[in-house]
Amino acid sequence: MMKVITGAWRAPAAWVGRSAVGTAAGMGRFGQFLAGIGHALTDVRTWGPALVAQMGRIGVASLPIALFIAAFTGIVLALQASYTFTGAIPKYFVGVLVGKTMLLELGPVLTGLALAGRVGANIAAELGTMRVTEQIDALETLGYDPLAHLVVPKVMAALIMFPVVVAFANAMGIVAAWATALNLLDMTTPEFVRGLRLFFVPFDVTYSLIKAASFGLAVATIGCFFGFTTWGGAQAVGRSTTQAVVLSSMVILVLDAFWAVTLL
Amino acid sequence: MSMSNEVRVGAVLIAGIVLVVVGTIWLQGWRIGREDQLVTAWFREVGQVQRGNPVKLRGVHIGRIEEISLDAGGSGVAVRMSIGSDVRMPEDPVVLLSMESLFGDWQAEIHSRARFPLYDYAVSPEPDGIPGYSLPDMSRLTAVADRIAENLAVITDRVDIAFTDETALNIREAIDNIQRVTGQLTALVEAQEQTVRDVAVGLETTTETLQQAALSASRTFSLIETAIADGQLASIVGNVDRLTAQIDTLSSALVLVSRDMGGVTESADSAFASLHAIVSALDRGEGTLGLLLQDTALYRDLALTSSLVQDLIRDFQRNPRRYINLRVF
Amino acid sequence: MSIVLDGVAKRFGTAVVLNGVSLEARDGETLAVIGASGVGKSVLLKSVVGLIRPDVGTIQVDGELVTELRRQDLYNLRRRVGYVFQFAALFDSMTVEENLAMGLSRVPGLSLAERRERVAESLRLVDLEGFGAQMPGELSGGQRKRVGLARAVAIRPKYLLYDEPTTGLDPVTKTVIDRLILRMREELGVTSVVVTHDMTSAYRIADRIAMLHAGRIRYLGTPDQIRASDDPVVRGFIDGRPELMQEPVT
Ligand SMILES: Nc1ncnc2c1ncn2[C@@H]1O[C@H](COP(=O)(O)OP(=O)(O)OP(=O)(O)O)[C@@H](O)[C@H]1O
Ligand SMILES: [Mg+2]
Repeated sequence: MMKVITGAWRAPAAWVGRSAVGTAAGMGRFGQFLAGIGHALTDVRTWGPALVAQMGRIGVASLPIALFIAAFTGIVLALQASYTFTGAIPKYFVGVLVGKTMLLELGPVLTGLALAGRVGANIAAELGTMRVTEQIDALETLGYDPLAHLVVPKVMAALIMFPVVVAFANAMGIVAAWATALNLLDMTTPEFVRGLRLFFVPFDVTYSLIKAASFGLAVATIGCFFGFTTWGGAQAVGRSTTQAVVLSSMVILVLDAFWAVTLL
Repeated sequence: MSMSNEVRVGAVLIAGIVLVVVGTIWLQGWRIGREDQLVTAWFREVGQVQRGNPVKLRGVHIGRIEEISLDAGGSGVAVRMSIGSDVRMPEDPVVLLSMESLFGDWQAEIHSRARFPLYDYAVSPEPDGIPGYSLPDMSRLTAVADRIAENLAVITDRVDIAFTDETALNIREAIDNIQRVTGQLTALVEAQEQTVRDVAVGLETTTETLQQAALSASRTFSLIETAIADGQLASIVGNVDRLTAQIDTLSSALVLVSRDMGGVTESADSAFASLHAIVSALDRGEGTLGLLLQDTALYRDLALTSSLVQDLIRDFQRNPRRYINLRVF
Repeated sequence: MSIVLDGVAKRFGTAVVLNGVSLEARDGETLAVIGASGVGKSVLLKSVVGLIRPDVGTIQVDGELVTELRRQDLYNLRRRVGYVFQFAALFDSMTVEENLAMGLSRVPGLSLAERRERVAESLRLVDLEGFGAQMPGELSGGQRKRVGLARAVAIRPKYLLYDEPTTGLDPVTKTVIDRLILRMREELGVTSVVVTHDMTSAYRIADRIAMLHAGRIRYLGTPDQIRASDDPVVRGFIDGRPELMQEPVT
């Protein structure tokens, strides 16, 4: 059977085989990692005390960048909406577009991507460095479960704080668009607010927050996984960091589509 | 250091939760602390109405649509609306669903039945349910009107080309006048949409007159159609004459509709009068209307226009109010 | 109680690092493990505390089978084992004191005052009084190494595993550390495994010395025996003559 694969086809076949085995092994390790996290979740006494600090680092410290991005997103949304709607469509539709787009898509996704860079890289680099300098081993020898001590607080913090940050980002984006509408588009507050409220349903907010929480979970777990499984030196830490950011950005977009398919 | 971090995280967390809760309530239109009453209206169908659309009384926003559900029997739709508890319902209330603007946002308006007695309201299966009627979607009407306007434009162009002598110049001038008047009418209707809405009651009383006028107009158009098909120039001339008379009737009906349109209809009158003069001139053998008949393409357009006008008139009869709201081509 | 390795083998990918290592550190004994760089000494030491899981073989510490232990029991066992890392592995986000306290907070029944006392005492042992508030990044390599050692002994373990505790230290500090290792055995009856390159140190502290070579224990004996050994590999290593270590292909 194997003799069929000969000559020029051997190298590509081997490559495909190796990649498949590598991917499967990676997924297996990731599954094990997740199972470990699940187990460590029960150890609240260990991860509980570290949670607040991580919430500060992952959530509160991410607010400035998230708000900055959201503000400019809001401004651009308002301007482009009014540009697209020239003449034919009433102005208050700027409010409709800003509200819906910000809540359903741009608020969570842009914040998610920004935090994939900021938080994901930070986590992967930190854990990666701790791994290559044997700090994680040291933790284990001192009787700590590093998953409970290092990983779970970060994952929980991201799960809790991403929705909070996204809530602020949504509000910021809408306020910025509002200010833009008033100052640059000659709209009035009642017009803009009318558009905002026109098609609003509370589920929009729920959807936004569900997305944000799933992004937080993805970014933190992926960051932790790559950091945790780093082996080597500084270069390996760099590689893990890059992989964590790239993969979590991709997963964010996939999740984005997934929620759109399942929840909308 | 660690304490201040805890305080910061706590503050952000609380602020975030408050933001989400308050923001959601605000976006829903601040309905907290306001006592609401729930009323249900019944419809045969509800068009594009959605949850959250506004409920209005005399043009004032008094609540929103909370729930739309098919009646168990499937014969009707129940629309539940929450409105301020201090709102007093009018005598014998009815609910009309209509478009709030041209862009798909609908509204529910509460009226007294005496105001719009003609609509075919659904009967509520519950004793305290309100009868309702959903106004038809305007988009179909708009499409027809647009096509007619287009065809008319083509015909006017062709007529412009077909006549080269003095009569033609006169006709062109008359057509220009009609175009101008049409433009003015359109502009007026757009500018005066609210006024026209207000006089909708007046319109109800004149509907009958309009219907008669429209019927005559429809007869006239079909006469034009047969005349052209038969190639009978003389009868065309006669029919155009009668058409002009019918248009005069129509325009006087419009005068009834709105005082504000008086000025414009006056100029319309003069435009139609000059058209009338031209037709008389044609009657005396001046000019070459035969040219019009040699152009089969023009004939087709005319025939098509005529049938479109009939369509429009039928719609017009059914929903005179929407039609006047929309545009005069 | 003792540390017993039986037939331990470990490979990473295709590289065989350990290939059937059997070794015992008897109760109260200090066993030195010597061997060339990259031969797998750190891997061996990490296997003892379950940081690396061998592919084959069993490891027994304090009567418990490390290779079979459930997660929780493994963590309990680790509280009885101090580990001195080759590159100190200090938590660089914590001060020296906090580093030391990390292990202590896992020891049941210690009051806060007792913990402070332990931290201070352990720092004194390695001559680093007054460095408690420093961050690891502010210390020299040798100082960090001593903090790592202090952190391992602070929990008063029954077993101590040292991964090259004296490498990179000046001769005086080296002697201080060697004395500390001896003291741990004498005063606390600790059983130790010391991985080292440094023969002077090995002769000074070890009851027995094992040499790891090509994935196996090449030689095991007292310092006097190993000094007198005529095994070419052992001689080559001790005398620093690599040419002796090239074994003829058999
Ligand atoms: N987690 C790991 N994954 C892959 N290879 C590893 C891993 N840990 C160790 N190795 C490999 O095992 C071999 C032995 O490494 P080890 O650190 O035990 O050497 P050593 O004897 O301690 O050397 P040194 O005296 O320089 O510290 C090395 O080739 C190393 O690359
Ligand atoms: Mg080593």
